[in-house]
Amino acid sequence: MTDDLKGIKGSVKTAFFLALKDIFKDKKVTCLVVLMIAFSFVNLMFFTSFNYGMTNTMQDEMINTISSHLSIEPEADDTYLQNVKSTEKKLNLISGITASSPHIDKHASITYKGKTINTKVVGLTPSKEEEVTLVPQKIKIGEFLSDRDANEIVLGKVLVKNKMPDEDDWGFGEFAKNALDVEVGENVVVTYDNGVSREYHVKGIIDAGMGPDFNAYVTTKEIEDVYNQKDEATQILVRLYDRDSADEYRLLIMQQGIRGDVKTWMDKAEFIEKITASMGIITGVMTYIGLLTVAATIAIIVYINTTHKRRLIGVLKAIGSKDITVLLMFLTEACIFSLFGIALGIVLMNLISVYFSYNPMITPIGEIYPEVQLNLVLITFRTILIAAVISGFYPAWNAAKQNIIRSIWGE
Amino acid sequence: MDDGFIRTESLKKTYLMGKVEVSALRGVDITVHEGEFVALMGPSGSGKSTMLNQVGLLDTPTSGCIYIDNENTSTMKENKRVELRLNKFGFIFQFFSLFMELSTLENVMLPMMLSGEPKKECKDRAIELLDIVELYDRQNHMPSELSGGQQQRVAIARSLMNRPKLILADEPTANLDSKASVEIIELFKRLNRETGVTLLMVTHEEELGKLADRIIWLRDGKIDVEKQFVSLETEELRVINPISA
Repeated sequence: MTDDLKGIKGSVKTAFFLALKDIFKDKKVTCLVVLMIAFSFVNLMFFTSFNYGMTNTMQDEMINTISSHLSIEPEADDTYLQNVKSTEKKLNLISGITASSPHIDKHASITYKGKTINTKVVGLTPSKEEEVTLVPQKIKIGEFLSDRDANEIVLGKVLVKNKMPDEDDWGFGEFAKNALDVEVGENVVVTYDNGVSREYHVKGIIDAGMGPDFNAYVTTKEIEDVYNQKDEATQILVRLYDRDSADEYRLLIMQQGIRGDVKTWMDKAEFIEKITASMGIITGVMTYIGLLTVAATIAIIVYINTTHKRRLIGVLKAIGSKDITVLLMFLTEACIFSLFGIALGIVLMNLISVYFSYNPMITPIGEIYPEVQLNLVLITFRTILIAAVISGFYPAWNAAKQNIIRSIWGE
Repeated sequence: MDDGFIRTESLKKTYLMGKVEVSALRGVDITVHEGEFVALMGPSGSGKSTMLNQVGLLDTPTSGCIYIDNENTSTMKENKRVELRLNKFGFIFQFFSLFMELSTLENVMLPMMLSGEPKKECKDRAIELLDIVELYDRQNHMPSELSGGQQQRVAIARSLMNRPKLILADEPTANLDSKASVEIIELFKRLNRETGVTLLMVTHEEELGKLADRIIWLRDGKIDVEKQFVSLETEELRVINPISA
């Protein structure tokens, strides 16, 4: 080994050795610093992972209550999809598609005891819907429709005045003002946009946390009867085995010659992306502030450390240590503090994650819990480590460049 | 021709204290031969520590030259100066300059570790030196568990780790009682005699200085010629070491 290489090895090994010795000299201080970095790590992870969790919850809720994995809608010039039964047969022949459910949407007003509320009435076949969305399972009071129901209706909770003592108003704005004071088992009158009025028995109230809460549901058979329509639909929802292959199946459906505009859940989730992107900006600002806190703390720790060790830095340099050894020593300390802090932070974040998986945050859009993604852990890990090196560099460099005599005399 | 292991020529050092220029050294010429034990003495502010720092390459002179082993250090790059400090010099300071988080053994090992030597060799050499300074049984003690004299002996062992040719000691006994001070100087003399290492020691205690082979007196940043003459006469009477200049 050449003398130069030997010298470099000696510098690196000594820097590492002194850093480790210094870290474990005062265990209480080390624990506090590590704890502080761990909390900073959790701080950086927490909001972002909640944002991920919220995005996922919103996507899941949207898929389970509004869009399913794919939806076939009429092309721009058409109002309805035609030949729905034949389309369903074609869809059922495609391997990987588990079910489909045609919807026929109409505008109507619902009246109860002189109060009227305008809404969308969705006609669907309950047995098919069960295979495609979770809407039938989202019943809060009463029951969902069955295929043979003719004069039954299910109302979204926003259309109805809340009578649950422990909950706030279900609706808001105009909806809260016009909400019907109706209960399951009572009758309402629905006036469709073609002028036909029918009386329905309220079979259930839906609480889906999203779009379905604003709708009313009757059977397809009923809508077809009211509008004298056959084999038509406003959209056909399609369920896949694997939601991630939605793009692939979109192409497959188009290749089958099925007429319509095929949209994936990702297309429909654009608004969620926008919401989470906005949240991401806020989270990003909080992250930067958190990161600045970490960086400042590490810089202060290294600075205080170099100030306390001023004389020994001088001695170390006097006995033949290179500047790089001193620099490496303090940077290694900053990195080791950070590594321990990050490790503890990962443990804490996982504990928080486990806690929230058992006690999720209940929100109007569903249950939200932080989602700790490996990618996010790696990014936060890298960010804190880089912040540690950058923020520790200046005070460490200053220490390394100190005049030997002045350092020895503690000036 | 023997030019000496250390030779300074017209060595000057000027400091700025605020806006005032202070001349700590005003053209000092000294020669120290290999294997000599020389004490630098003088009153406070005479420039003895500044002189030691210049010779030890801890600082750079304002003008003049320092030759170490016939090599002009004023033209040396910083890397080379660091290498000299690590491999040819050993330093002992007046305060107990040990790393408190390191054991006695680890403190002694430090210079050899910096040289990149394997840990086993560092440890063996450190134990050997702790034995020489009579602290073999204290190798796993922390500095805080040692007396001032013992700590200074650890610093001496550390200064010898890389088998230096020159040991520079800046008032090594300043913080020790008289018994410990004599022990340290006796240790220096023994090391000087047994290993042939050159010793340049700053002290303000004349009794200790007299234990060296030769005293170089400084006053106001210059050689104190008058005192040097008296000292030389005393030296000649004592006939301690025939190598003295």
